[in-house]
Amino acid sequence: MADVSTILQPIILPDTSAGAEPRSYWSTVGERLVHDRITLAVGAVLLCVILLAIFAPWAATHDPLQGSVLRRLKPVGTPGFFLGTDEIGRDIWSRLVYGGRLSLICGVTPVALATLIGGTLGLVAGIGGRVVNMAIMRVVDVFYAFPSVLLAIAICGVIGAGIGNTMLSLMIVFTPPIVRVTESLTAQVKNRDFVEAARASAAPLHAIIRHQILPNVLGGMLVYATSLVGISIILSAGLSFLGLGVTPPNPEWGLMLNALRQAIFVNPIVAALPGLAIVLTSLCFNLLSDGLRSAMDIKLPS
Amino acid sequence: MNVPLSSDDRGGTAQPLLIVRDLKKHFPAKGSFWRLSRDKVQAVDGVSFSVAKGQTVGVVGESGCGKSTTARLLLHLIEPDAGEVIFDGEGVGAPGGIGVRDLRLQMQMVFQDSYSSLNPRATIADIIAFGPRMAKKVPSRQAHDRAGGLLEQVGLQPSLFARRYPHELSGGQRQRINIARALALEPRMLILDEAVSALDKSVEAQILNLLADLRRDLGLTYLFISHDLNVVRHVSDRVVVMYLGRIVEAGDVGAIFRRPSHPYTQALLRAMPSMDPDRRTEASLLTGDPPNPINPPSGCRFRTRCAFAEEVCARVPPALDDIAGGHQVACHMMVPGSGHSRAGTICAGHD
Amino acid sequence: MTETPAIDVENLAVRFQQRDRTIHAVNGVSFRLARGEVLGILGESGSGKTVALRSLMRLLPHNCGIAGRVVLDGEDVTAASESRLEELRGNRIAMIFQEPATALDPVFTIGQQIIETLVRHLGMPRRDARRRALEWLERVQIPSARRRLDSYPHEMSGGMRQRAMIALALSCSPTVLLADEPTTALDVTVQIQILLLLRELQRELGMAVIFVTHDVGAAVEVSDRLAVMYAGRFVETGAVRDVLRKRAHPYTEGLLAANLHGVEPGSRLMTIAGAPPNLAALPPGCSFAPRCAYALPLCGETMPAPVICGDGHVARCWRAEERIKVAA
Repeated sequence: MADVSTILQPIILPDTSAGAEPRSYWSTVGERLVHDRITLAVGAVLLCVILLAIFAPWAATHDPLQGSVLRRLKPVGTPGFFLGTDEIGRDIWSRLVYGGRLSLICGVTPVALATLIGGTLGLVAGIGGRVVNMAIMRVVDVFYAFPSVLLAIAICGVIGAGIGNTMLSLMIVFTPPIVRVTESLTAQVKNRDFVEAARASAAPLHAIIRHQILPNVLGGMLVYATSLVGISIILSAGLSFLGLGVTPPNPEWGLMLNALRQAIFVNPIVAALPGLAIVLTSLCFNLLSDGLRSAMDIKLPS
Repeated sequence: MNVPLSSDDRGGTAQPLLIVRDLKKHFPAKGSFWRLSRDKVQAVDGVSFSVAKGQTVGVVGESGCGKSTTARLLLHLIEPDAGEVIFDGEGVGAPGGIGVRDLRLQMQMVFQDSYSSLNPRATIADIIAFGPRMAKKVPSRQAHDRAGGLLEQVGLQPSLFARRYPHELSGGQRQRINIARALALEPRMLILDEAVSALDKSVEAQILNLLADLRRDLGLTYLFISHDLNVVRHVSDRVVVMYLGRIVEAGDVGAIFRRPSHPYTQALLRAMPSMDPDRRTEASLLTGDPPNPINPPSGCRFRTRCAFAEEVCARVPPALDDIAGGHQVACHMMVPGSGHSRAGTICAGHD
Repeated sequence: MTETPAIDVENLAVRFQQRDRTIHAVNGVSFRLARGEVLGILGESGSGKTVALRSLMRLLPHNCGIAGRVVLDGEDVTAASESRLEELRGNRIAMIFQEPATALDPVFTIGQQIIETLVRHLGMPRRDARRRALEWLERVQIPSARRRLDSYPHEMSGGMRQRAMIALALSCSPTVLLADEPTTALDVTVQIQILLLLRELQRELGMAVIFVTHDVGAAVEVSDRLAVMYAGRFVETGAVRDVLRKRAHPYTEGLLAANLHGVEPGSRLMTIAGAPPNLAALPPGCSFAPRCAYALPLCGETMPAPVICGDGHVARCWRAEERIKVAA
C-alpha cells in the first residue's frame, strides 16, 4: 500500500477549460461578439454604410449636386434614379451616399473629441482628491442643467452654422456625460485590490494610471461612447434640419429631410428616405454599443 | 531564532524588524446631507507591537477589530492619524528615518485572493514585473526573466503561466501569483492579509507549505493576519489578539492557545467548532455580534460582552500589561490593585 | 426505515449545457433522510454540493438538465409543476443561504417578509401572522424582537440577519431545511451561536436538515451523518464518527488531513496532489484517481461501486475495505 506521507511537488496545470492558448480579455470579448448574431448583423450593416460613404464617388450614380427641374420628385423605382429624386431633381441615392460621409463625420468626430477631453477630465476627477473631484464634477453638473438638444442649438446659434461649428457644439454637449461615466468607472477601479497592490509597490502614480487604471476603464468608456455616436448623428441631423448645421447645397441627411418636408404629400416615401437613413445608422450604433456591453460583461469562472 | 542577516540589514539581530507604537486611525463616519457627523469610526486605537527578524507574528480578530486597517497603516496605504512605525530601527516618515517609498521596497503585502487582487487586463508576467519595472526602473526584459524565476519559486511553471490572464487561473494559482508579486521587489517582510482565507482547505494547506518554504529559503519575516485561529496557530511564533481597534492580548503562540488570559481570547478559542462528534459544543460564551466600531464602549471595549465586567472597566481602559515573560494582557482582572474585585487573584490561563 | 423519509433522492444528476461543452455538475447522488436527521455534505469548491442542493428545490437556471428522482415527504416532486413547486418552497422545504443580505429582500422589513410567507402558505390572518413572526424572531434569539419586526435587513448586523433569515425559512415549520454554507461568511463567535441555534431548532421541530459546507468543524457540530462529495458524487457517506475516524475514501483522508485541527504547529501539512477535475471532461473511472496515492489501474478504468464499510457507512473506492482494515 502506498505510503501517504508528505506532499510531493504538486503538478499544477492551468485551467484547461479555457483552451491551450492564453486568452486575453479582449480576445474573449471579440470571440463573444462574433457569436452574437444581432451584433454581427448590425456590424455588417454599419460596415456597408461606412464603405458606401468612403467610396461614395464610385457608389453614387449621379452628381449629388446636379439637379434638373424636369425630373423633380420622381418616385422610387424610376429607371436611372432608383431611389427617386428630390425637390430640385437631384438623385436621392447619390445624395444619401454622399450625405453618409457628412453624417458619419458629424456623428463620430464630436464623440471622439469629447471622449479624449472628457475621458481625461474624468480620469483626473476620479484619481484626484476630494477638492479636484468636486471642482470638476460640479462644473460638469452645471452643463447637465441644460437638455442636450437645447444646449446644442444655443451654442450653434451663438457661434453660427456650418459643419465645423456643429461638431464643436456637439463636442461640448457630449463632454459632461463622458466625464461623469469615466469618473464613476475610475472611482470604482481605484478601490480594487490590484490598484492598492500597485500603490504598495512604490510605483509612480503615472505608471499606476497607465497600466492599472486606464486599461480597466477604457472598456466602459468605449461602450458609452459608441452609444453616443448614434445620438450624435441624430443631433447633427437635427441641427441641420433647423438650419444651424450643415449649409445647403451640401447633401446631409438632416438637411435633406428639411428640404423634402414640403414633398411629403407628393411623394411620401422619397421624403422619408433620409429619415430612414438617420434612424438606421443611429440604431445600428446603439445596438453595437449594447452588444459590446454584453460581450464585455464576462462572468469570471469560479 | 538565529536568522542569517539580510544584506539590507541595519540594526542587527537583536533589533526587531518592525516596531509599531500607539498607531491610531479614526475615520469620520458618514453624516447626513444636512449635518456633518461627529461620529468617528475608531478603526485602530492605540496599537503597539513588535516583530522580530525571521519571526511570524499572527494577528487575529473578528470583523471590525481593525486588523486589516492596521496592515494598511503599516504600509502607509492609509495615512495614520497618530503613532509611529519603526522599520529596522528607522522611523518611517520621520526626519533622518526611512521614507515610505523605501519602506515599501522592503515590506510588501499579499492580499486575499479575490477577483480584484490581480489586474484582469494584464498577463501574469506583466503583473509580477510591474513593481520592479516601475518602482526600481528594472529594464523590461530583466524584469520578465525575474518574473519567470519567481513563478518557479511559487510552484508554477513559467512556460505555462507567464502569458496567461488572471481569469484563466484557479484560486490557489492566483494566490501563488499574489505571493510572487509581493516577492518581486525582494522585500524583507511580508504582510499577509487573510492570504489563505478564500481558499479551499486542501489548497490552503499547499499555500501554507509554500509560505513556510519561502520564509525559510528567503529569510523572510511575516505578519500573518487572519480570522482563522487554526491557521494562525499553525504558522505563528507570536500572536496578537485584537478587539475593536485595540490589542487585548499578545504573546507566544503556545501561551495564547494554551493559557489564554483575556476573556475575549478565551471566548474566541472556545468558539472554534469541535472536531469530535461525541463532544460537541454545548453553549457559546459570547452572545450577539461584534459591536460597531463607531462610538465604541468607554473604558474597556469588551466590557459589554464580558461576564466579569465591573464598574472600573467602564471607567478606565485597561493597559496592555506584561503578566509573564512576554505574555501581555489588557484586562483589569490581571492587574493587582486595579480596582477590579478579581484583580490579582487570577493567574495566566485562568478559566 | 419504517416511516416515510423526509426526503428521498435517487440518482440525482445535473448537467449544464454551455455553447461548446456540457458541465457535469452532479453525477448520481442518492440519499435518504429521515425526519429529525441532519446530513452534512462536505465538499470543496467544484464538488457540486451547492448545485445539488439547489436542484432539490429546482432553483437552477434554465440551461441545466436535472435527472433522477426527488421524493419530498412521500410526494414525488421531480416532475412537479412550477405552481406546485411554489407551494412547496418556503412551506414544506426551505433554504438558508451563505449571504443573508442577498437572500432577504432589502425593500421590505423582516416582519413583512415573514408575515407574507405565513399568509401565503398557511393562509393565516394577518394579525396572527404578525404574532407568529414575533414568536419566531424571539425563538431565533434576536434581541428586541418587537422592534426588529419593523427593521429592514440593512439595519441589522450580519449575525442578526442570519438569524432573521433562519426565522423566515422556518416560519412555516418545513419538513426539510436546506442550508447552503450558512455560517461560512460569519465571524467565529457568531458562527458557533448560529450552529447551536440550528441544532436546537432542528431538535425542537424535528426537521430534516441538509447542511452543505466546506468547513469540517461546522459539519461535525451539526450533523448526524456525513457525506463527502467530490466531482458531483458522494464518495463516502456514513455516521459522522464513522467517516471521521475510518476515512475509508482517500479523498476523505486527504480532506481531513488538510484540516489544521490537531496538527503539530509549524509542521509540513499533508496536501492532496493535483487539482480538482474539469467537470466538462471528467476522467473515466474514479474521478479522484488522478490525484489518489492509492490508485490502481482499475481505478482509472471503472467507476468504483459502493463498498459497505460498516453500519450505514459506504465508500466508493475499490480499496476501501483494505483501507479500513488497516486503519482499524
